[in-house]
Amino acid sequence: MLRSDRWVAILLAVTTVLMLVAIVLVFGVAPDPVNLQTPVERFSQRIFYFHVPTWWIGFLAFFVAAGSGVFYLITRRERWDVISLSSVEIGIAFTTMGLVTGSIWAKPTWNTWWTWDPRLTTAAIGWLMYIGYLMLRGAIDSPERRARFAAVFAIVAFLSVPINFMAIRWWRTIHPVVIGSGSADAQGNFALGPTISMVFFYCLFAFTVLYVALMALRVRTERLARRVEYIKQQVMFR
Amino acid sequence: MAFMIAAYVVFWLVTFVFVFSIFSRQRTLQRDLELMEQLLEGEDGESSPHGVEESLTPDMA
Repeated sequence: MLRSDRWVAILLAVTTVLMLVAIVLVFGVAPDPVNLQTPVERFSQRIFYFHVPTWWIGFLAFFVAAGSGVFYLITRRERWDVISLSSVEIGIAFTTMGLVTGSIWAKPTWNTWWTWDPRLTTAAIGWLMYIGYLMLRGAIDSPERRARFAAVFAIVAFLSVPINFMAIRWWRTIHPVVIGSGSADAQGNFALGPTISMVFFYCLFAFTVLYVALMALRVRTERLARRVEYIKQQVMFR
Repeated sequence: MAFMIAAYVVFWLVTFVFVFSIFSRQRTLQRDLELMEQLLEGEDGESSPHGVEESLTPDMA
């Protein structure tokens, strides 16, 4: 086993343990919020412990992609393009989970799967922008041009993240704001007590480690893919 | 309760599919790499100096 393989294996094992502990905390330790009256509300509130961290990882992944884009444009080193692409893929996976779990939470709380609320609309636009990032990459043949365009796109697309984050603070919305104060129209809000906070921040930490593990895996695969492509070119043009 | 279970099932399902797809891609690439190295060996008559650990293009090395 290579040294890097060993580190990835250790990281994956640690992540698995952390995620299992998160499950135990969410279902065994976190209390029901006092303001939620019906069992349906109380059960669906537990989606929050994984829903918010999926968005946190999505935002973190897009931040890393934008930062890597900046570094790529400065240095023109391929490694930054590898990091950017890997991070966007992980970000899309997690924001997809965020959209779906949010929609599942919305049904019992808002009595609808989807509504064109500012938060949901900005989230959908941001998600589509990153799908556009992958489409852009697929449409350009030249690796250097593809990396350059993708870097610029990742930086521009990142503008959607602060807008999405602030949407529930800037505009009238029914989406709850758990940290800080939000719109008076918010439905499904609850207070963060000490135990709920502890479980929530633990989940954020566990998801951050999960992101690092997935990045290690995905970056390694992308490097391998480019090595294979490089050797293919060598074989073809001999 | 069904909504809560559905949300957690979606989370784990997407996570496992994503991780599985990475491992699957890696296996395919590993096979491709070995094949390419064999092709290069066949043409050069000697083994390639590049191992999997050095799986980098010159720019990334």
